[in-house]
Amino acid sequence: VADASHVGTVIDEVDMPVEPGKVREFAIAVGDEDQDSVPLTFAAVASHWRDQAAMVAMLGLDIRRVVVGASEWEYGAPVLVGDRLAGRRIVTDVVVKAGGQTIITLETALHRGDGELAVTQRDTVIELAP
Amino acid sequence: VTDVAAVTDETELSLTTAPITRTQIVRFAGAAGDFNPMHHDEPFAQAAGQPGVFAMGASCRPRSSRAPWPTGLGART
Repeated sequence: VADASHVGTVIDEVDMPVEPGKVREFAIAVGDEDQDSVPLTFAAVASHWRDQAAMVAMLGLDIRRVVVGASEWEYGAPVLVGDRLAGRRIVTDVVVKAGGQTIITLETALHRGDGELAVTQRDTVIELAP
Repeated sequence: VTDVAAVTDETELSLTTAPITRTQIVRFAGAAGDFNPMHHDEPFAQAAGQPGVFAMGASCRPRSSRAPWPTGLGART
């Protein structure tokens, strides 16, 4: 069961190469006409390099009741094909509602290979009431 | 039909897409690495109380990615 004691917890780390083949595959999947530039939400790929099942287990969530509430991207330095995206996923907020629903906010600051902040991703994960 | 709106500090984008097919969902699953069974495993999704599989939210939002990387802006979708 997730609660306020999880705030500040480092869930995991990711360090992903921004490969041309993966960029093109992702661009096609999202219907992007430009298949050689890094799509704005390419950070979603870095997200799934991480072990989501381990995150769910670490926070004590029931995967059958977990939905993504929202995702938000705050942009910094641009990312080009051939660069890297690396960062840690941290729990920044946990709210347990009276009805049993839990709202968890996760933040990942992804940096380029040169250390510049490229994009900060905030995910709101909802565990629905049993 | 899915309506998607992406908002930044300076621009607002709104677009409508055709109905999403299972093939599109699976393509995005592979491209993004999102293998949550809720999105491709019909019996799993139904056992969880859903009418069937459904698309990932992020599979719609990147359609606004035609915009340039908005350096210095806070972008929300």
